[in-house]
Amino acid sequence: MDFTINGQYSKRSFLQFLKRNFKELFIYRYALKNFVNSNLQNRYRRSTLGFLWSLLNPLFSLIILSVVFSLVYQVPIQDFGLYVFSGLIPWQMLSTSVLSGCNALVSAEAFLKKVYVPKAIFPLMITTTEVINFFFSLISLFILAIILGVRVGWVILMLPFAIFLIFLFASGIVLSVSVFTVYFRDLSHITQVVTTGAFYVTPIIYKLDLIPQQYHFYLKLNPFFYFINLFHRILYDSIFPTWEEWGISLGLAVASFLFGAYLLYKKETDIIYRL
Amino acid sequence: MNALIDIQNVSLKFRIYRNPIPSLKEAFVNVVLRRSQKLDSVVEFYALNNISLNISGGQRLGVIGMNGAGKSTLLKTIAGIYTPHTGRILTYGHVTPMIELGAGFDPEKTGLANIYLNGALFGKSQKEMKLVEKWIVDFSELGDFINLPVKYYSSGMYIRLAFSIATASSPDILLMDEIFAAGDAHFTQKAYERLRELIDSSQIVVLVSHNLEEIKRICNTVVVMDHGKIIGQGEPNEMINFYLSSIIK
Repeated sequence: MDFTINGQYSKRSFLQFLKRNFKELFIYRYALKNFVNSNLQNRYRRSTLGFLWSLLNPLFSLIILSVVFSLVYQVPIQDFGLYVFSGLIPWQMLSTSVLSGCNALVSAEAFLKKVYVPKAIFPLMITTTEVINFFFSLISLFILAIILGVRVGWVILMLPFAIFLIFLFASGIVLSVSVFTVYFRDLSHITQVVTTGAFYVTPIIYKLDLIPQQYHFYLKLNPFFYFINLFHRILYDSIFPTWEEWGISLGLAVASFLFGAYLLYKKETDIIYRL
Repeated sequence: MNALIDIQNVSLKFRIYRNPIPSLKEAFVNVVLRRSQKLDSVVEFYALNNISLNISGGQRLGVIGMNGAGKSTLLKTIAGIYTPHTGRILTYGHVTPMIELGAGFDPEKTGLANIYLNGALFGKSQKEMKLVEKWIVDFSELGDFINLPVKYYSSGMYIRLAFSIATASSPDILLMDEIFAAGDAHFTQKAYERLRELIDSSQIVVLVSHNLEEIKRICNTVVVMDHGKIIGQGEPNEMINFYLSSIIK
């Protein structure tokens, strides 16, 4: 049995908040698992092909994009297809997380008001779902790589680290936007505009070389750049990202996560009154 | 050691906002026009006002009072859903709240799947739920209905499943808010017996109800609440008489 104290001074410091939340997330891990499962099931349930869609969907969008852009840029489709895809799947993971993450807490009202569940479960459930989807997309990427006859190098073993970093980064953003949305319900419209913009300022459907050198500084102010870049290095260039590239991504991921967690820490007990 | 709930000087403030769905656009306009943001928060009132209460193992506490007296809020605060603005609640033991019938049920999923889902929301593992799955199916007497999505359940079946899940793993502290309303006489009788069994293993039941007969049957202590305060505490019959005489003035 456990002692629990419910009161204003039960949350003393940010560090204790983190410790308590990790402990609670561990206790409620089955709830997280259940939510993620039903999220995935809901997405593909009413289709005959079921989970196959999670493989086919990215494959089709990839084929369209690579055909269109290799025609536009006049580059061989084999090379460019792989490039687009290796940037597009982490991007989709990020943008879908952020967009559906806005309403993570608001739409969990029914749960939050009737049972005690750690609030962090709802934002994390979004990013976990997207990471699993990401794996499905990866499978179709590998299918494509085999079709195109691309050699897969050892650097592929670095992929889990890159995925962990992008998960941490996305979780931080989702934590922040989900808390913000409780107070500003129109935030999701703004994030929609911002993510659409971010898609074009991140080298995904074009290569960085295409942009004149003097603008590179501005492109690199965009935090998304570093995460997409990791995947370009590992999946497309098939080279080990430099320590600097790892370092920047790690820094950004940790900063984003801590910021999101801090926001939840500040508003944790107040959210319930604003739902 | 026995389960315990220790409530000390707990106050909880509710704020009612004039604009329940705030937007960034409005906040921006307010800043530009230098309008005060404070305008937004309108009424504040105390849903719980300096409440102190000590509930120890083996106690079946009934909470009675008029609508809006703060009974459900008290339950939700014990469950950790609300955090008190002053004071603190110390609980020892696993708290299982039954605040609303089938809270956290996924209507699209079968009764069986919901056993695991609901268990997970109470912080129980799949393995723990596996152990009590058969007991839940038997006790709820749902039979083959357990394999049907719960959206097809009658409210009686809903309550039977919810009650069975909540009491299956012998919670240390069980919080119930008006949950017997939908059960039939047969199931209600079974539920009473189950609750009595739970008490024997020294657990706490806190029951909020307007059904005074039910309170008399289940509880061994009763508190009377009014406007967020506890105005009486004691033996059930005495408190029920006090409550009836104080409202029928």
